[in-house]
Amino acid sequence: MGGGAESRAEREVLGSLLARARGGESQAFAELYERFARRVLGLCRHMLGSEEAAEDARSEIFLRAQRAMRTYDASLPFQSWLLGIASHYCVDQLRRRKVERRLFEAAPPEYFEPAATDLSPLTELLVSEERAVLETALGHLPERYRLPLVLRYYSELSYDQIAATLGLSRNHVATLLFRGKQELRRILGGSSKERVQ
Amino acid sequence: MSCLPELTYAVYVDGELPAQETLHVESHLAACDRCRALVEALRAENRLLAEVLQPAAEPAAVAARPLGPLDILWTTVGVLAAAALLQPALAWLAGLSAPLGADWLNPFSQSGQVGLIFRSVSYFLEEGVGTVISTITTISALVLGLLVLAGGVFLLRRRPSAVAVLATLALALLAAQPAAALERRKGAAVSVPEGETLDDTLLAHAEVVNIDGVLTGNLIAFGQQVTVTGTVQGDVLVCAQNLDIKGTVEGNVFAFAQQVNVGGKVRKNVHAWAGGLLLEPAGHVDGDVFVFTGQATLEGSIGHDVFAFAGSVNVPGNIGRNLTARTDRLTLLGTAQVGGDLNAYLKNARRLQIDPAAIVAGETTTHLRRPGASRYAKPRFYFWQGISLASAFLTGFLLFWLFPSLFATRLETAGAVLKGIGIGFVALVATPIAAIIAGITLVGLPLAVLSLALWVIGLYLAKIFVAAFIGRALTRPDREQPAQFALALLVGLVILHVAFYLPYLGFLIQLLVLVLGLGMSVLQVHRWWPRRPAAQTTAPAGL
Repeated sequence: MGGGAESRAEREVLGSLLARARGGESQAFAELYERFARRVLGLCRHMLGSEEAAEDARSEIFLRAQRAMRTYDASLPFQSWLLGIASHYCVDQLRRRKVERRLFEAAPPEYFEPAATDLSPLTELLVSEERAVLETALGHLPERYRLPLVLRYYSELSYDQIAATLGLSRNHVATLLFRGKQELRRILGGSSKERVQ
Repeated sequence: MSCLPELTYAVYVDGELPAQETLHVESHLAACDRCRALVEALRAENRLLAEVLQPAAEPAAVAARPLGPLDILWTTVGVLAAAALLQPALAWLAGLSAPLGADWLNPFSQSGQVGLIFRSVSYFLEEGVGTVISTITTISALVLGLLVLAGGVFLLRRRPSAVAVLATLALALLAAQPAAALERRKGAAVSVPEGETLDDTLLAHAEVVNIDGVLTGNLIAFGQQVTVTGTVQGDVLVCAQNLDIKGTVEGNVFAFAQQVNVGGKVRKNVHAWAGGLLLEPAGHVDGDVFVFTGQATLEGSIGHDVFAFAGSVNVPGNIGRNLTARTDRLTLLGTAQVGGDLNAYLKNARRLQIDPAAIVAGETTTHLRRPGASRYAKPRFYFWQGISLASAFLTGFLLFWLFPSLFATRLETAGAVLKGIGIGFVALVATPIAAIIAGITLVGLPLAVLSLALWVIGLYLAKIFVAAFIGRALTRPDREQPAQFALALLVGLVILHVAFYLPYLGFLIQLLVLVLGLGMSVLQVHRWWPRRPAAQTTAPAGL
């Protein structure tokens, strides 16, 4: 998502901006802000669940990012680094709200699903669904499912990175992602409709 | 081979399955159409999720989580609780001012008045009436100085013990400063050349004052051009046409100037009453910045908060904490960063310009002021101030004529002043509480009403008592003669009336006067007690 389609020229511009920002040039960081603010806001919105909280979080995240610019390793994609900061910040915020605690109370993934004989993914159902409906459904997901889904499919973090961000085991992350999608299916159409023979 | 769990396929599709298991899955997929279809569907599902999660056109959002019944319940309870908490306070404040219509003596409503002062200041500055401002500043400084002087002289004259108190205070003040003597220098140009260290506080009066070396004490300078390129280890207090700080000031900066430029470092706070303030890109203030200027441009960085009362405020720089601005125009450029909240008090919302790239970490709140000319620009304000002054004077004089002993309470030592303040504070807070408690019982209701009425009267008389106290300290009349008392009272009232409208300090002075005056009333009632028992004890002013 995002960075892959960048042209070489764009990458060079970004590289130069990053170098200037790491050197402490505030104008360069302001341009970085312009480029990535929307993406960070999106993540905050998905994780925190409200526009207002997301706006607040975005400002704080960019301030933190600016302070941490010198520690940024240029060999890594800047967006991942930035979204990593954003994810940690949002999780901290949720932890403060004591909502996120549920994540840690979830049962550990010590079981295996039955063989995939009659399971169907969300897509069968979603062809007819509007984007807004899915967005609403995501908004209704409990934090423990929504956060891993957002970190995985929005921030493009690996299982290990998600595990580190949320303080969970890798297996737990896999299970939460899986159950999160199941829950989405349930919300969207009821479990019986999800099944395709 | 049997089909694998869907979870395994989900992890596989995410590319997170270990290599060995991946091989296992792929070998099964090669043979199982159904599982292959499932994996494809899972991939499509992931793509869809990613697509839906992408930020849509700004500012479209994933629907915020709707409020549940519990959210609504708690919000309602919160609003009710806030209202319940606020209600007595509001009633109390209303009770303070309504009976006498004497709004001016209620210190708790002064924030609006202070706001008006700053509004009028920026109004004047914008209109270019610099002389008005300098006059106001001079009068304010003069009144403040007189108040301090009067208090000091009074205490010194009364009791030797006061000398000890003042000496202790002076020592405390000195301890807060770098231990330095005072060096006076006058002339066309006064300078501390580069490489030289002056181990003193420097009082300089010259057209040009240059500090290129090191000053271990404070710099107090009056001149046309004051420049600090070296280091001042104490505070900088400057009254000049131009002040340039290119070096380092370890303490605070207090500047009364036409133009103040800060291109160096200030380790503490900057207070600037000036036509213009420029914090240059290289400028850095570790503490807060208070500006009362026509124009303020903050290009450099500020460690803590900024309080700006200015015609216009431009912020291309970095503010560590909150930015509070009462201004006609506030601009945050793209490079601006505010680490805390942004509070803007403006006439027009369009005059708040925040570049999208500017960063405000906290909340941005815009308070719109009602349009219209400043209250201070209207003759009506001065008319009512005159009425208020005249009524206070007449009341005070009448009381003195009828009950001269009422003004017998003398605060002859610093300890007595503190005692008066303490008693006054308790009377201020405890009386309404006691009245409410008494009012709960039907029997106590008349007592409650009476004590509240006396309390309000006490609040009104507080100013008169303190005015008489200050006036007498200055004029030292023979209190047996009404004419001399009248003069003292008038002097005291005029001083207080001006002092009440000093920026920032006005509020504190009002509060102090209120508390001290109330304390004096209580002390006087206590004196009267054996001869003229008052109706009840909760009234601070049994008059």
